[in-house]
This record gives sequence, structure tokens and C-alpha cells, in this order.
Amino acid sequence: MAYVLGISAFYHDSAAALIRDGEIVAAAQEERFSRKKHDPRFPQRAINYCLGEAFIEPTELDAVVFYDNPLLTLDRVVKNAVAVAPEGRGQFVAACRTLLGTKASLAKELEACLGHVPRLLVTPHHMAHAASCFYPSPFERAAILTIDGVGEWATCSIGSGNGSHIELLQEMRYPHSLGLLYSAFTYYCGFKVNSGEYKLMGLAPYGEPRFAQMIRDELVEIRNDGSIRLNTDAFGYLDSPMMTNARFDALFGGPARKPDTKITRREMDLAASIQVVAEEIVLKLVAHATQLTGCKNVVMAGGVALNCVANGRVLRESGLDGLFVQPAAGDAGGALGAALLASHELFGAPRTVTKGRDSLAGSYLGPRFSTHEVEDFIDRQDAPSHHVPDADERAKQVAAALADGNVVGFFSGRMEFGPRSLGARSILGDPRQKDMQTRMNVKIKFRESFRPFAPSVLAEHASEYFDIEGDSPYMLLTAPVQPTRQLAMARGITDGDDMLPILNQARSDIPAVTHVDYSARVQTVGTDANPEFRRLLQAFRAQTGCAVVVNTSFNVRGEPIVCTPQDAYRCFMRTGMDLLVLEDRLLWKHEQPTQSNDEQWMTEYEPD
Amino acid sequence: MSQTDVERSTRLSGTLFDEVLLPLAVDRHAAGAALYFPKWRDAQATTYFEPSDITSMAAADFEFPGGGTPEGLIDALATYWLAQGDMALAASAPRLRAIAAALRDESVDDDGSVDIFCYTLF
Repeated sequence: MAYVLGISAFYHDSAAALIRDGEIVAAAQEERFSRKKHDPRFPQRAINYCLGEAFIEPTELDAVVFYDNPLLTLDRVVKNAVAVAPEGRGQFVAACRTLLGTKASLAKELEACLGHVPRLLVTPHHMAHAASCFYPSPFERAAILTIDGVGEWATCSIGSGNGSHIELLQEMRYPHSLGLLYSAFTYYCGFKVNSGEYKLMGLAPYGEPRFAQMIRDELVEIRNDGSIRLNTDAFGYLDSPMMTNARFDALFGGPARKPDTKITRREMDLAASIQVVAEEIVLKLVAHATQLTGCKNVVMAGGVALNCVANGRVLRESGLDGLFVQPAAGDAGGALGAALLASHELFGAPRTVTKGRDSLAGSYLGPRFSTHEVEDFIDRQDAPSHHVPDADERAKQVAAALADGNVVGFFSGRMEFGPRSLGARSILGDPRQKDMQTRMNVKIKFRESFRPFAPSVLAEHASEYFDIEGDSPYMLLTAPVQPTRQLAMARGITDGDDMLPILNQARSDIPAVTHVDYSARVQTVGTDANPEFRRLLQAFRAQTGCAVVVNTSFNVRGEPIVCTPQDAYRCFMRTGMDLLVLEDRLLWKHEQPTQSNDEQWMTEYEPD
Repeated sequence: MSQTDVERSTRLSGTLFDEVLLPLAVDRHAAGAALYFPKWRDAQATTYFEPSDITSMAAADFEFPGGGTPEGLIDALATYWLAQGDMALAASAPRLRAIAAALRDESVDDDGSVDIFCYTLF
């Protein structure tokens, strides 16, 4: 029996994953334990959790695998400096600090964490991404597509997977990167690079893609196979501490938007434009990958694979037999991929494929807390609660609370791995209520009011609400709301800078989860992965006739998704949630004692 | 940790840039050598894809370069550069070692965070 621990760290979203003979035992991001969003530090807490989940000691590890080759990354940094000199001095100095310091000292970190240095392995960055999406996929053979900002030199790779073997065939290289192109627009529109890309995608439907041709003409050359070249003269990231530069500003009529200032028509149209271009590139890449490999099952990972709008178009337009996107598609998933790769390719673990079913167990790969642990916490907290041990009765009560317009914090089972909440650490609401989107955004999540919420729907009823074929268990695809459910909108009022008029219009009979282009980022809830969440959806449908709930991550803006009952209760008490479900306990806000000395919490988390 | 110590690693990194990398850039430019990467479109190219450096993982490909220490990493990188014919870069290894040593002496409290505005370097 071989235990392999995968690690991603020292960039953003550090994580650990433990594999036993090719089977995933556990995976978690460090931020969930440290409570620091996108925590880049060595994932000591996540490692401890993984070892604890398997009941093993560090000495029982056969290997630790790092998800990125630091030699090739340092090679790129030095050569980039030579390429752009005399510019880029400050960048180089800053890079040395991490690349020759913390990131180069992995053995020291491992010894401090584990008490010894196990056999230390490495995988190329994109190979780790490739492994993260191929091995857990339901396909014996698949074309592999990985797209991100940059890993070592590669920015995109195409390969094939067959059985337990992965082969990478082609790649694009730094500085020519779809991920960096998208991040440049994220920065230019006033959002944070590495976390604001999701906001840019959410903003796109408010705009018109009037800059798309300019982007193609001036910034990115796209070949028929989806390979690209960027005009590096218009980007700042090679030689300055900015993603864009004066030439970029000149193209789009002025400097970048300052964060948290008003979003104008320009940003909406820029978002729409880069989204159109990104989708065009992704569709071409998928077509090329299937042609190159002769395989119509496609698996995807890398940060760009979190662009669920592009993924939805791939599913609808690429004529694939199957599509699987790794839910932890970003760097956190690299820990999982690195460990899987070593387990299969080096330690020879066989790969078992179950047709039509992936091996991620719903991505519920993190910690769970027993009912006894929850009870102990509630007793310590002296928090009034209602014990409802019968699962069906509990589902009925929670469904009734949702139907009455209450917002529910739902904490059940193992925590999700990856950026999406899938019903284990979720905030839920009734999607039929017209004011639910604004209410949840402003009073509970404390985030921008334009951002849409996602629906979770009983899988067998998904097609009644959405134009979607097949399952979408990881909320990684958008699909149109069925036309029969759509309500006409006055598009003319979107011509100005103000998004509120269109936000306040009901766009369907499930308005809280219908974006302004009538799309929705769907999670289908089937019979296997999460019985507790499914039971709730069934109860909600029985009471209301609606098989859909609003599902958003259990956190506030800038906070990592909650991990423990303590995290959940704290978040519940600080926000406008009405009911908290902690496993088999129901806690109503109006019954809780008033919290004191907690006024400063809104400054605790840096805005994302 | 004194301010002077902190400045030492920064100063050494800046000196490496000024005294090695910048002259190398000038020399390469003067010699008409190609950049390490293309900077914009190529009208002749039908594709911008390149063959992957590592197509599949042999056992040797899993070996961690330099064993997880700064010195080991720098030695491995210098060997890699020599194999590539990048003699000038390989010759910078002692300076890289000096930076790594300075960082260790300073016990820099660096959590691995990366400034988002230069994150592409990582």
C-alpha cells in the first residue's frame, strides 16, 4: 500500500491531498483552516488534516509530491529578466526573495511539519493539472486540455489520457497566455487578479462586446487551432508591477478602474468583450484537442477551466461525447493531480473507471464533524438549538424555512474541495423570491450586488428549468434558463452605467438564480454524492413545487468558506442569515444571544 | 533581523540584475540573439503550439531538483543552464547562492505570498 501526499504552495491557494493506491483519501485547501483567503503558505494544517483522515503517521508516507518544478520557474524568471532588461528590476528582486527563500526551502518546511523529510518528488505544473482532471474523470480515454496563467513555462497544454497513463503533446509558453490575458482585463476593470476573474465573468452579460475586435487586432493573435500570441508591448506584467500599461490604457480610453469605484458601461463592455474572445479561444482549443487526440471525451483543468460560461459553450457547441472539468481546477487542484500522477505513474497504482461516474465523491473531500462534535460545540457556546435527529423531518423543517423566505446556512458532511460550495458548506435561499439576489448579496454576503447566484436543482428535474443535457454536479457549467420560464426584460435600460434597473427586474420565475442574459450556473444534485442535501431539495419541491434552491458559498466577502461548526456559527451570527443547520441541529437567529464585542469583524477580511 | 540584513539580500538581487543580467541582455541584443520568447505575432507561423518538453513521466522526471534546499536548487539550475549552453547564466550561480544565504541569515519572515502585480513571475 502506497500513501502519496500532494502539495501545492507558495503562490496562492495552498492545498494538500492524500492518495492511497490511486484512491483519493482527502484533499483540502489551507485557507479553510488558517482562515486566510487564498493562503499561499506551506499547507501544514491541510497536511495534518489529510494524515488524520487516513489515521496515518508522517513516517507512513511513501512520498510527498510538489505540484510545480521550481527549477524551471526560476529559469523563466531569470530569462524573463534578461529579455526585458533594463526594465523589470524591481520585479526580479521581489521574485528572488520568494524563489530563493521560502519556495526553495521545501525540505525545511517538510521537516518542520512532518518531523522528517520523506521522499520528495515533483511534477510539471501542467502535468499536475492534467492528472487532476483525467484520473478522477469517468473516461478510460480522454483528450486533456489545461489552461491557466503560467506554470513553469507552459500556459496551456494539450494531451491525452489512456487508462492510468498521461501523455502531454503540445503546449503554449509564457508570456503568451489566455489566463494572463483574462487576468489583465480583470485588473484593468478594477478587480483583484487571481480572484476577481469570476467577477469579470459575472459582469460580462451586462455589457456589449464592442471591444472584441480591437482585442483581436491589437492584443491577441488567435490561430485556427486556438494557439495564441499576445502583443507583449501592451501588457505590463513582463517588466513592471502592473498587468497592463499605458499602451493598453490608450486602447481602451483611459487608465484602469480603481477598485471599489463605480462600475461603468466601459467595464461592462470590456468584460463582455474579453469573455467573447476567451470563449472563442477555448472552443478552438477544444476542437484542436479532440482532433489531435482523436478522442471526443474531453477533460479540463487550470484556472481558465473555472470559466463556467466558456465551459457551457463547450458542452453545447463542441459536439463532445463527454466533458469533465476538475472542480478544483486552479492551483489547489494541482496538489491532487501531483499525488494522483505519482501514485499511478510511479507507484503503479491501477486506475478503475466507473462509466458515467467520476471518482471525486462529489468533491466532498474535506473534514466532517460528527453530531457529537456539533453537540459539544453548541453546549460550549450555550447556543439555543433544536435537535432534529430524523433526517426527513429535518429536511421538511428546513425546506419550510426556505419557503417562508428565510436564508439558511447549511453545514452538513465533508467540506468541499475547490472554490465552489456544493451543499456541504452552503448558504441557501428560495430562488423564486424577487429580492433574494440583492438581499443575499448585500445583507448576507456583503458583496457587489451585480453578482449572480447559482441554482442547485434535483438532477431529474434540471431540464424543466434549464436547457442542459447531462449532469453538472460541480457547478462548472452555465446553461440557459428554459425559455418558457423567462420573463421579458426592458433591454434599453441597460444602455447607461447603472446596473440597478436591470438587476431589479424579475428575469424568470426563479429570478434569484437567473442572470441578466438568462443564464444560470447550474449544480445538478443526483442520488449519489450528498443524500442530506438532496433530501432537502426533495422536501422543498414537495412543499413548493420548485426543485431549485439558491446555493452560494458559506462565507462573507473576503472570508474563506467555513470549515468548522465554530466558523459557521460565527459567520451566521455576523450576517443576516435566519437559520443555521449544523448537521442535525437547527439554530434560529432570533433565539440566539446577542453577540458583544464583535463590531470590528467587517474589517477582519480583506475584500476580494 | 536588522534592516541592514534585509537590505543585503535585496542589494545582492539588484546587483545580480545590474551586473550580470543587464549586460547579458545588452550583449545578446548586440549580437542579434533571439529573445528567450517571441514578443508578438509571427506571420509565418501556422500554429503557436510547441511540442511539450516532457511528454510522459519517467521515474527520473519525478526527482525533485536539488532535494528541496536553495543550494541544491541553484546547483541543479546551473547544471541545467550549462547543458543548454547558457554559460553566462550558469556563471551567476555563486551570486544566486549568496542571495539564498543572505535570505537565510535574515530569517526573512516570508510566507510565500506573492504580490498580485508580479505574480506572473511565479
